[in-house]
Amino acid sequence: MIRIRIFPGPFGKKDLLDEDGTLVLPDESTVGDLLKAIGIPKIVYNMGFYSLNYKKEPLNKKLSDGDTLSFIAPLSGG
Amino acid sequence: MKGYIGKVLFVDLSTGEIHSEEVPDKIYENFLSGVGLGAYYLYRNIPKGADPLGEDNVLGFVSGLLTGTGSVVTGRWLAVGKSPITGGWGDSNCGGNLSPAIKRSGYDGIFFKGISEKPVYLYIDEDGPKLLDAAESWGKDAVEAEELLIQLHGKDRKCAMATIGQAGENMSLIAGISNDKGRMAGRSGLGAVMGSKRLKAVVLGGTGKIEAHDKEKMMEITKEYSEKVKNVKLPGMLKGSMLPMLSRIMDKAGRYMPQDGMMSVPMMKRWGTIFSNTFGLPSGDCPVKNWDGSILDYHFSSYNNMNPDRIIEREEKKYHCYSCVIGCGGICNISDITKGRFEYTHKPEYETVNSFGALLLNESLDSIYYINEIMNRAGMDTISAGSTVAFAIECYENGILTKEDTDGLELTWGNAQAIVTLSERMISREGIGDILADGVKKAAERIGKDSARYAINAGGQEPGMHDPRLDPIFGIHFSTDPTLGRHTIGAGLYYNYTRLWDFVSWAPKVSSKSSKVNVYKATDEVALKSVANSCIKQVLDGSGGCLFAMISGLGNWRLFDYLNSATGWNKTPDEYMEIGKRMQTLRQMFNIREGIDPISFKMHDRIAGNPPLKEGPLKGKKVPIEEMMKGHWKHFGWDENTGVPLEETIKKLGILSLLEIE
Repeated sequence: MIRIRIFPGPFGKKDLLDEDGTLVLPDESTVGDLLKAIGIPKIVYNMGFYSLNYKKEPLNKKLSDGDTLSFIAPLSGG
Repeated sequence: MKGYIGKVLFVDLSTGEIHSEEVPDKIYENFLSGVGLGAYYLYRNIPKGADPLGEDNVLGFVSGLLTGTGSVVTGRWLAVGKSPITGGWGDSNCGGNLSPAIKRSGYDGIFFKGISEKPVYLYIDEDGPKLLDAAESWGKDAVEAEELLIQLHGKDRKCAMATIGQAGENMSLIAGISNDKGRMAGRSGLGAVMGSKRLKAVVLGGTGKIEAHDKEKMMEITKEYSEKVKNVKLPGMLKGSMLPMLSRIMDKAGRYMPQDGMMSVPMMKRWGTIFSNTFGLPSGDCPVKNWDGSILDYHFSSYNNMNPDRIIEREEKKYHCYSCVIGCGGICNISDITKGRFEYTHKPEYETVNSFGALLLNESLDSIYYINEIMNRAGMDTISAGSTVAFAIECYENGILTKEDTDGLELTWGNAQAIVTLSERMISREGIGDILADGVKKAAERIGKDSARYAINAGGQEPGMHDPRLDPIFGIHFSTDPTLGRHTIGAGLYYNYTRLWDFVSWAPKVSSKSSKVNVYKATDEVALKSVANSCIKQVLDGSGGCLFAMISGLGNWRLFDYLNSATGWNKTPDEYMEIGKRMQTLRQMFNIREGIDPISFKMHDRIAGNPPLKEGPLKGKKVPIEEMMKGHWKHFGWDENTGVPLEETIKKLGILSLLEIE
């Protein structure tokens, strides 16, 4: 199993994440598997609003333990 | 080799005497550099009750501990002094290229006292510091003066400099200090202090070295952060016009959850702060109609004129401040708008666009470009100036000011031509402009007739363009920071981006379950967050770091590791936060010594939701600001009823022994 840190921004089912904002997935899971698992709308990820470890990666990219998946976080109030 | 230089320069403008002083290591270990070093010297050198525009006030230019050490996004400098607008501690922060120049000239800080008989400027090169006659540059605007001084001194060397324009020379209490041809240390009215001293400029051409203790470690942190900044990008299809929709989605999902601050960086890379022009309206972050309106008064068709994509169409060049890898600055061509009077202006910041846009219901972006340039040249703070224009319009609309008072100007909401003309008159102190040139509090005192109800301020300082009725922690900082009305100290949202709780033992953790937390209650959790914001901001301002780097997350931009690597210290984040608490407490002690009652710094009732707005996204929102101020003071170790630092806190922080006044 692999543990992925997720910053879903305004999207997806946050209740699936633990207190530290992580989710456990089976080995060999891909970015696409993760996005589906947390219920990110297809339109959001098709628009490329996410980064894996701060890089743009395709949906079939395999995840590794400790990866960070983040969604765009504009700073209202800056 | 500890990142800092270990020396400061003192210039007495009354006598012309110049001398330098070694700074003991323990001062840096307890106050860092930057604002902490400034607070240490100003507390010791400004006598109680000094006239802010008199001989006894001390004006300092301080660099940051991390500036020039191989760290990135650490090129901020600060002006420090007693503020003529609040009567208390004043400081103002700016980027550009001045911060490293202070250190390369051989000092961590340069302090001026006294008043020169005639206009002068300080020049420093390898031959040391000297005061030179400023007769030629006095009377010129900040940009013209800088160009002239570059011609005089910059032919065979790169000089960085700070200058004042007409607003500083005229001692407008909302005058700032310019560097890099119009970037502004705008807050606290310190441009007026510079003008009162007849100091036109500080021109720095030194070429000394700045060293760090562990260069390899500095490079490692820098490389890791720079790679992330380089790689993280926005999707190409995201347009400025889509930002309001994104704002609505974010608000629906709940604002108060952990965010990955690094994901705010691509917005800054593409647009700079102006992405907030449209992003902040639907949520209520951007104040409208002198803080009494909403997007129902300033619809999409109005605010989309400020769409950041429109602004970057004019951006001919992007630029970075010293050591910055984000690069939010830009130069816009405005030649056609100004009929050739000005070819370029700095890309206007969000604060300027909102102060002269939504706050006044002004839909004319062209007028804002023009005002941006004349304000930058005059050295007038756009937040304060726009807020003062809003005050004047509301007075006019309610019959307190008449056409006779305004010399014929129709000061109605959204009248762009009148807004431009009034701005020009404030700079030249002509007619009604003279009444308004010192900010809203002074203007209300001069006008009377109960106009103070429209003078939105905290302790005399006009607040930044972020609404506490959306994010109440903004309000706590507006009302409790020794430099009031400051939007860059902290907010609930900033806290979530920095992720302080990953490093600091007492900082409340924010989890994905936090979106349901009631931020409108004066809880211990809210107070601890605001205290944490204040402490880390002091550490940041002692280091020369940029707020936008800190907001990208302290796990990404590793401030604590940078400080230990630059200095060779081995302090924990908790110990750095204690330093921040010491710096903040000393600034508060400065205000108390000046006889300021901290309660009197409470922000204007209107922006606390008293009475609440009747419509719009912030409808009905109220901020229990007095209770929140008390909670903040209590968790700082200050008297929770008066805001005066407790003796035991001052003792624990060792402040008096460090000041050698025990």
